[in-house]
Amino acid sequence: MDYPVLEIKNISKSYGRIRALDNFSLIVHSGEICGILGPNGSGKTTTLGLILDVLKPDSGGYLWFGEKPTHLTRRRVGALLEQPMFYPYLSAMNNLRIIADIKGVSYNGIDGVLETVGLTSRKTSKYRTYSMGMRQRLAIAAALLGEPEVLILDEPTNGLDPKGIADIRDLIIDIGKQGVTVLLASHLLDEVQKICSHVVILQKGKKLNEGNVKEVLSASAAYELAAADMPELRKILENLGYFSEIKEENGKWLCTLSQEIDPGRLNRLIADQGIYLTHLSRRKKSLEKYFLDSLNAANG
Amino acid sequence: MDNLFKIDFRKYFYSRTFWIMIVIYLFLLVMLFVGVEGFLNAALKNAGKNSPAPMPEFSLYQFPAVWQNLTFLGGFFKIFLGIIAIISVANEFANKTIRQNVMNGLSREQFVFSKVLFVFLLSFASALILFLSGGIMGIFNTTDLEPMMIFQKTDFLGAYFLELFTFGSMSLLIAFLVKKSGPAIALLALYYYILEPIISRMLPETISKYLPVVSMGNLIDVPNSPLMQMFGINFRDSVSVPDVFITIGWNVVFIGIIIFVIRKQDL
Repeated sequence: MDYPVLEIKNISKSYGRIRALDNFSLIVHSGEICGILGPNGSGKTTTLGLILDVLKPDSGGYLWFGEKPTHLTRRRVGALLEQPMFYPYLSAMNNLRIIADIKGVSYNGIDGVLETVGLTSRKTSKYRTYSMGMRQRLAIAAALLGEPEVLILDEPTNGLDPKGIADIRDLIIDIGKQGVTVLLASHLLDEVQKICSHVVILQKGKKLNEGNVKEVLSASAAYELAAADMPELRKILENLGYFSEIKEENGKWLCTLSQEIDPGRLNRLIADQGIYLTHLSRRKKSLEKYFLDSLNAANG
Repeated sequence: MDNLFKIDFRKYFYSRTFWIMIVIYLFLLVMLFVGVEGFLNAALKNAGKNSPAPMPEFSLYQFPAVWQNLTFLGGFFKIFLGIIAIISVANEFANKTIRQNVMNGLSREQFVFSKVLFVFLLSFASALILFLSGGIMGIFNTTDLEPMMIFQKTDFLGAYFLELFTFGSMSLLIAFLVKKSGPAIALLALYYYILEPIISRMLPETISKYLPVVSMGNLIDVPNSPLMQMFGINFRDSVSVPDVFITIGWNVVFIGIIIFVIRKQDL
């Protein structure tokens, strides 16, 4: 079941003197929801443009479904790249019919995807008359058309209102549950943390970090602890061997976990040593923190 | 192929701009083909007022001369077809729909072929309009009409089609290279009206006859008119076969360059 859907191998791409992507490799497995994170201009859209054959790499290559990419493999992929791109004088229906013809799928799915993104009532209006948010919704509908095996979404919540953002987030989670592989580029970390199973962090066209979101976040989980006798507590904590780092923060010990331990057991182990905690809370590292730490580490 | 046609048909069918351009172009063609004789004769009558010898009247619509007369004249209007072809490509770049098309699973070659197909159909429609208006005018204006006369020398229609199609693929090449409609149309006009005439004058005729616009124009020679015959000038009254091959060659070159360039390009 768990086969590689997309393999990017040592791809590089420059625009003039700017190196947009530098020897970048990535494997995305089936069923993953993979988030590509990075500051503006880090190469997220370039990566997606390359695997959609809209951009040509200077060197390196990629495989879709283990095959050399052709226009036929692209028909199995639904994509939203950078900004909505449609014929302004055509209605949503006709724009989607063109896409259905290109993909070689029937028109029957059109009503469904328009319903999904909430554009049914405006489906016969010309694209030109659409607001920014509606254009973005149509672009998402276009990506969903023909039940693709892979969904590529580049900043899908751009231009959407808060309700729209929540709707799209739920939609992506829902689609992920159906087994569709999703590649999501975003700089909204909160969004990625809620949705993605995997993350890749890009900076200046280079891969800084990658991993499973749960592991990434739990690896850096920490406890905040306090007791009446703080120095004694610290001694005990150091001897327990569960923490990689213990430092003071706001009059409490912030203890980064090196090994998982549940709070009840931790509380008892400390009590066994004759110290009673006045404060215990678990702190989960946010993806935002992880992301910023990665960037800082890289910039040294 | 029929799918490409379907995709492109939808792009144009609902576009008011395209309808306006195409209708104006075809309307101009009909006006030209139907009205030119009256216009020429009125002009000649005016010019011949002080002439010592009487000016012979033009009769453009006699079979089989009508085909050479009208295809020769129709050739002057091919710039309109070029402009329509350029706009059809430049629009796709302006709206970035070429990106969307490719991303959704159209190959770059298929995209190019869809535009070539569009130019092909436009050229075919022009030749068809010429055939219909020329045919009708011929039937009404030919003395001693015999049915078979209608189809004599209709190879000029084929040459006319080839002339338009070659000009269309040259326009497509410019559009794919320049990508913006304004500059592309300016470049087409500059090359067609100014650059190539200058270049062809600088080169010896043995070489200049191979230039694209020259060879397109040479397919159909100036029709023999009674006026010219007065001066003892005689033009070729058949389609130039070498130029058929030269223009087909140019089509291969133009479309080949488009595909070569678009294959390697970021969209």
